Amino acid sequence: MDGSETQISYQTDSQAAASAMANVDAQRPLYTVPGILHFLQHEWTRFEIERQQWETERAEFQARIAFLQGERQGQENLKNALVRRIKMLEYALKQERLKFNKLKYGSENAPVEDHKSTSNDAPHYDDDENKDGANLGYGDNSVSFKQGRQLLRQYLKEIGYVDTIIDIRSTAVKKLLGIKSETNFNASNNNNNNNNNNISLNGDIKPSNESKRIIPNIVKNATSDLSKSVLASLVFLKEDQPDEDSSDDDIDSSRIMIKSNNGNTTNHNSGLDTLNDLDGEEVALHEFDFLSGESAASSNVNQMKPNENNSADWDVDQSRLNRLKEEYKRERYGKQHQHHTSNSSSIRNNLFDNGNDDTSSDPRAFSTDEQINRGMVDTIMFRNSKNFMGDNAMDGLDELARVTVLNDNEPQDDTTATDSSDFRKTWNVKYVLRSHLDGIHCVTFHPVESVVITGSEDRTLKLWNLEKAAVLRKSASTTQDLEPIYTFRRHTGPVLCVAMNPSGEQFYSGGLDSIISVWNIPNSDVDPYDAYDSNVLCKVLEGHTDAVWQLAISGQKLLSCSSDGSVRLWDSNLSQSLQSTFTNDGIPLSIDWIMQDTNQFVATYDSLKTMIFDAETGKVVTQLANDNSTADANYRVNRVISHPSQPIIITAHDDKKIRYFDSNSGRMIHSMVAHLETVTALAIDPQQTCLLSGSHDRSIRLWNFETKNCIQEFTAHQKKDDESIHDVAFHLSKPYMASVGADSIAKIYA
Amino acid sequence: MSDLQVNTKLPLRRNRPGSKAKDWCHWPEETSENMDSLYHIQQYIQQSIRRDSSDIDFILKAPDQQDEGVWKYEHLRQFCLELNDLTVLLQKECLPETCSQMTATEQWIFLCAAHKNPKECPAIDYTRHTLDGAASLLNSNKYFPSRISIKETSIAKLGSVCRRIYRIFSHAYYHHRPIYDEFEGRTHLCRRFTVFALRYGLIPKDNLIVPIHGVNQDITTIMQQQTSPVKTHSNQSLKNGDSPPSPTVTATQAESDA
Repeated sequence: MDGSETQISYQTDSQAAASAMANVDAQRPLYTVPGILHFLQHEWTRFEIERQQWETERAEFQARIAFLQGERQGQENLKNALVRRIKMLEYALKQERLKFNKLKYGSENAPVEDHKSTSNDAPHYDDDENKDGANLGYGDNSVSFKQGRQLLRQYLKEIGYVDTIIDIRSTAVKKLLGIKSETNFNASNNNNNNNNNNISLNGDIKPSNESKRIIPNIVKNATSDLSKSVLASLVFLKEDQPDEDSSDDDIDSSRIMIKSNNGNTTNHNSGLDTLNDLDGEEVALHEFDFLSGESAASSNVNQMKPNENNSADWDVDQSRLNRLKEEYKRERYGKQHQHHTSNSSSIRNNLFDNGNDDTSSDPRAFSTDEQINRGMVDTIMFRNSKNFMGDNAMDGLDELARVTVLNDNEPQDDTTATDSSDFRKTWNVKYVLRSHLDGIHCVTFHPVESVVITGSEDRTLKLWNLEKAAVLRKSASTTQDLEPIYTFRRHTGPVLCVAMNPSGEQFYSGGLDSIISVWNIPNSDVDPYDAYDSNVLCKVLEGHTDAVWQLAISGQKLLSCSSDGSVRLWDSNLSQSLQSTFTNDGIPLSIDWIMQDTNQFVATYDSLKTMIFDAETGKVVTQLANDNSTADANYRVNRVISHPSQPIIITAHDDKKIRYFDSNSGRMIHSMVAHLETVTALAIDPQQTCLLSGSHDRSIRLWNFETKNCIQEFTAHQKKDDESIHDVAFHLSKPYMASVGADSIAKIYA
Repeated sequence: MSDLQVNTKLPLRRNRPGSKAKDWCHWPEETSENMDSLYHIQQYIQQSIRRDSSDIDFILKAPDQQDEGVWKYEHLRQFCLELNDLTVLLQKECLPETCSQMTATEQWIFLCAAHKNPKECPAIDYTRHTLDGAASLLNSNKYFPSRISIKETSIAKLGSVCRRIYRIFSHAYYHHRPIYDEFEGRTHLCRRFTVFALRYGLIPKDNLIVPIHGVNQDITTIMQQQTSPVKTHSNQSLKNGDSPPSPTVTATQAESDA
């Protein structure tokens, strides 16, 4: 593209050059015009090729950079995930060790010591977690620990676990870690070995297995995936390790745990309460879940440190662990199915058996954690074979991300579930309808279908099919944009009001241009870019001589009110345009049919009077009491609606109030300040349990109809000039509600 | 706060139910600095139009330090809005039977870009689809998520919208002259649009084929030579399909860039 332009400019240049060269030619016969041209062309081509090459190189490097960045991000995330895993395992081990101690002492030896060690151990765990390697806790009760470990060692000897094996292992570990040998370590290792053997041997107890199986994979990943920078930083950290007794201890034990679990499958060890073990595991996982949440939120540096140590250690041990990993993989494929089923059930059972008074323990949190577990195991397992770390890491993260999303959603679901049981639906914005070019004045729903009609100051009405949008774009976002399926053009001024025929086949719209349009609703599957169908516009009702501000329909009887001062009743078949006109002093502002008696309607006037007419006789039946004796102009009613089944009329006033009237007596039942600004719109939900109001204060509010309390409030629309919300509506048969405003936007709530 | 407003009888810029048509938006003008809503530019433009729709220079004169992209965007919204009125007028007369193609002079047949494969919609459909498409685009959360600041890439979209909606003017001018004259006399919309498009370089001057006195009048003479009666026009354009100017093909290309 660039090249062609260059070529063109070059050609003109060369022509000029050629003519210039003509003079030179005579003196220097060596340079011929074709020769120069050829040379120039040749050079240009060469440059072009080089440029292309550079461009390619550049693109390659950019791709490489993007790839590396993605990889780095993936590794970072994976690292965090691993921190969680390792923390969890550490804690689980500690708990198990504790249990084991307790059991051993309980059955064989001094119960006093046992008590001491357990009670001391638990709090110190927390210390370790928080202070990271501050070895205070272990120093205090090291004596009792030593004793306990000696005992355990003895016990191990008895059951045939040879001392040398333990020694060899521990020395090997210590060599790797650069730690001087210490008897305590051996003891603790023994502890772990036994404990884990017990668990692994018991066929039913899978959680521990599961978590252990993760380890080799984590190890694998940690070693291969973690970037060099991390490892480099670990070198410094390593130097501090002798102090970090506890974390080293854990690393030891977990490594040995793997080993023992793997190698000693024939070892038999009875007398342990399996349930108890599971409890320990359970608590551990729980505690972990809790902790990890915190650590993720605050990205606790303290917690990161030991983890980094861990990964470094794993790294050193890679060859061995890789071998183990292979073995585990094989083992896993055999057991995989069994694990998953037995896992969750046993865990949940234990959870309840536990009677844990830990408030954070709820089954949901746990099962989520387990999901992560499984997700991790699965993805890592399968991807490992590829040995492609970028892919591996990212996929694992995808899995994690999905799980996290689920986790986030769960509380929401819970609340909505509980709310609906209270008959208190929590509404949320579901669709944002943008397509109008100016403020929207009115909205109505189709009585049956998920179809909305909005009328705007931009002279158009638009038809929206909410279901179509849902099918077309199933996006994950909470609010969706959708396009209208039809645009109605007939008004030559702002559209002010709309009314839906109960049949759902027609609707009516009134505008500032003083006409009322009667529309046939197109099929809700209509293509927005179909050919123009002139039959959509059924007819135009002319008769009003000024803006038509509101329409009300009951059965087939259409009522309209206009700023020409009249309220008109239109013939049901609309063939004869005008049936009767009601005039009173002033301009009618809003009208509505009295629902339980469809021959009466209520109209409110700018003279601050609100009265009920009989449509047949045209006479005033009742006048609603005006509690405002001073005739303050702010009493002005913007919207009047009638309750669909009770003799109640509700009015929305300029003075921020909503008032309730008894339509039989005309007395005021209730008055409340409902908004910060003029109340503009009212609607009653089909269950007749709540009232929806909109105001120029930009908010819409839901009110409990009985208690008159505000249930929910939305800041729904922005202001244009001093206007904000113009209309609100409920769907008659579906849980939808709508608000429209001067900001040209309609919002649908569900 | 609102109490204050009401009590001090500050006129609220609000059309209350029951307002008469002549009182629509009948409130004192406000300077652009005092407009504080998110939609102040729209408010300002509409206020200028209400003031005097024939004072094109005033309407198109952006307030100081006004972001040009947003200014163009809001004006285009207003053009699309007001074109709805012209469409209502055209709907009565511009029928698929009489205007089966979107044309102005016989030089071009415009293909409707609202469809996956641009096609020869009748003029009224072209008009409706173009306005619907423009309304959707201008409200698109993807391209125009904010009306305060607009991305440069989205601004680029305005040009093609302008080109397309201008064809509505040109069709009305060349095929429904009485409607055009009545509408233009009332709203001065085409004049405003022509000045707007020229000022911001949205449409090349050569393509502005509706003569506007004092703006591009020089074109008038050229166009008058080319203008031919409506009836023969569509036949001609079909015949001319393969002729050197090759209108259909070029138009297709011009349209499919959307």
